[in-house]
Amino acid sequence: MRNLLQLILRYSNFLLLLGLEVVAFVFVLRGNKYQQVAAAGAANVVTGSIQLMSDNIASYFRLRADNAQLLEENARLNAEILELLNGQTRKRDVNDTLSTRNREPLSSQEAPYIRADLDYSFIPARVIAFSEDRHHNYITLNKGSRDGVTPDMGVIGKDGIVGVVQSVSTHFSVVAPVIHEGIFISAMIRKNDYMATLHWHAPNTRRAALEDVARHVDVQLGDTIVTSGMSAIFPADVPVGIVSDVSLGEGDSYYDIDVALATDFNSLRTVHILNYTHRAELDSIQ
Amino acid sequence: MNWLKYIGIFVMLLFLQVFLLDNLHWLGLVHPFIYLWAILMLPIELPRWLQMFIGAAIGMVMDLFTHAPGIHMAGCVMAAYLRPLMVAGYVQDIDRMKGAITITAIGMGNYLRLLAVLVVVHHTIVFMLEAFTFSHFGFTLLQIILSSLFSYALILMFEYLRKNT
Repeated sequence: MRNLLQLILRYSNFLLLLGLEVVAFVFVLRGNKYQQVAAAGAANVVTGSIQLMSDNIASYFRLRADNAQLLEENARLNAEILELLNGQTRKRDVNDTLSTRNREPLSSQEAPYIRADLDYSFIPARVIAFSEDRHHNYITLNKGSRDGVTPDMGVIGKDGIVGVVQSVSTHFSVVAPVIHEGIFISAMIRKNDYMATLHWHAPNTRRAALEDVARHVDVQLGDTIVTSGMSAIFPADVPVGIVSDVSLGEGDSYYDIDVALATDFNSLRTVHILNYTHRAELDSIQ
Repeated sequence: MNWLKYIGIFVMLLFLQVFLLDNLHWLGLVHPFIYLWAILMLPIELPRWLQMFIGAAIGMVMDLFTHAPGIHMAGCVMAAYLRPLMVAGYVQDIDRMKGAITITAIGMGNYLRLLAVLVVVHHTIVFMLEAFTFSHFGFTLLQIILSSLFSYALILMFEYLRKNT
């Protein structure tokens, strides 16, 4: 007994090292498990505020580029409004009673691929911090629970899918983007509605892999990949990317497909958080 | 060195790390961690268990900013454990040493060696835990090597500036 005690005392520092490393390892495992980020929940307020400050300073240096982007977006929106107005008057001329459901003409102006009749509302948000050189990247947004954001909401940008909200504090939320190895996106090939899974691997942030496409499926270079709509997180037809490489080994039953992602995460500044209006109802029956 | 000064240095390093180095995204490969310098500056006369706990705390603060708990904590604890072990091999009587481990305290050659070991060990742990897989090992290895080189150079630069002011 005395010997054992002496042994423990003698190696106490080493044992402490082991203990602390085990604690750290448990943190890593818990944190990586679908990034619940227990620590970040509380820390979001502190780190988020600092990152917001950092972004506020940095945004001055981006003003020119941001302006150009806004102008471009403005021009496109104007064109769309014109198109819509034309379409509406024409429709009214042809058939007054065709549309019985009264919907707003455009629910999200900055996501032109979203149809107006979807049951989603949009929360605009700004990217205040992001990473892209890790295996588990993240994006911090300046909207939180106060603005109605909850975990598991989808996030889209002007070019397409961005990611899924992971944790939320009062003023901030952390998003696991598509370029996060723990995120699997239910996607489909637009031309034939074939469902597959999009999964990203480090390091190339512009490419992801499309998995589970069987060899009998017709898939070509340049095919458009969109979301499948098989969850309440994203509606169908949000752009995901374009097929950039297809290969099929001799005995393989599945393709190896590379997808050039629609969203450039490096230049992402503004996004929209998707809020599915009937989510509580859907959750209660599923 | 008093504690206020130490905390001041740590906060400065943290700001530099979070505001500047974490935003560089050099080729998605190079990600230097200069905040490791704070562990080198810990007073050596503190009990070793306390050094490890402070190392864990420093790592946890870093983890808060990267939204990935445990990763930096693991690296920092290991660095804080190794530092007194290595220093004991360089000096006659470690029990009589006081204050930060600097070039003046242990000599240039020893400092270079100590820093190299701490940086490489810390970066290896951080990048391996971050990747959490051996499947892209070549990439992770390249990340470790390049980032270690940059951290090494940056910390040496800071140590020089500190020494000459």
